[in-house]
Amino acid sequence: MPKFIFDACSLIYLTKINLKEKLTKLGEVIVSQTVKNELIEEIDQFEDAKILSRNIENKIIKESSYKLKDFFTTKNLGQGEKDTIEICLKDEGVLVTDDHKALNLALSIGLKPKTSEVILLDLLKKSVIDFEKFTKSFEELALIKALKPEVVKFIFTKAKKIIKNNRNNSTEEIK
Amino acid sequence: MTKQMNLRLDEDLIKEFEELAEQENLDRSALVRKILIEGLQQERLNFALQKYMIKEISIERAAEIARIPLHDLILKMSQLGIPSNLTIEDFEKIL
Repeated sequence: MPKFIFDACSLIYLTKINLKEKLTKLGEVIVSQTVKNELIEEIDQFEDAKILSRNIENKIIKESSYKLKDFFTTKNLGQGEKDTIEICLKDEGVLVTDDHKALNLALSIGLKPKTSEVILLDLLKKSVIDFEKFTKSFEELALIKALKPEVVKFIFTKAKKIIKNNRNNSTEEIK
Repeated sequence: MTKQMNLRLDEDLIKEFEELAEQENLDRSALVRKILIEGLQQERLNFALQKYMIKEISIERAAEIARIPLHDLILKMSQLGIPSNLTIEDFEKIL
């Protein structure tokens, strides 16, 4: 089963659009200790933090056992992001981050990161959600993240291609 | 522990402080302290958001600089309509 190492912002976004519960259909959901603390920080003030805390208690979200060595010293990333990338690099796992700086650092060291938009597309590809659910969830995500119109268009184009491929594959199976 | 800090302010500004302190039933120093604390928090947030928007720092680093929980920063960014720093080029690289 693939391991997904999540950054805090991605898990918060996916919680806001009520899709976090579906993530275990793709693989294990793992976070660093710093990210875990970020997710449940000032828990009484944030409803999402309460939901995430329950998920951690129920082991839907697991804490990584990897011993961090503070591999990255950049001051442009948060500690959670640095820890998440280090875990992916040393302990293997797919990085999920919704930040430009973190994503590009990961790419520069050979990782293949995903964002919450890509996770949505993966859920669609694996038929965990249908196109209607994808559209509703992605529209909510786009609103929360104030995604630029060209990004919204790009992701929808990818989603339509996935639907077309899924239909072609199921037609071939019937034949 | 507190330390003394002397500030030279315009007379008009001091008068404004005194008027507002009276209206809010606070002493002048307490009002200045309150405004300084709130102003400092806002300035930290503005600075962090500016750095985030020009892609100099990440979202979590912005929360660290602003000294607020990430949940709070995401909420504030959404309310202010500050777009995610991910670009179309980022998505082209990963998809």
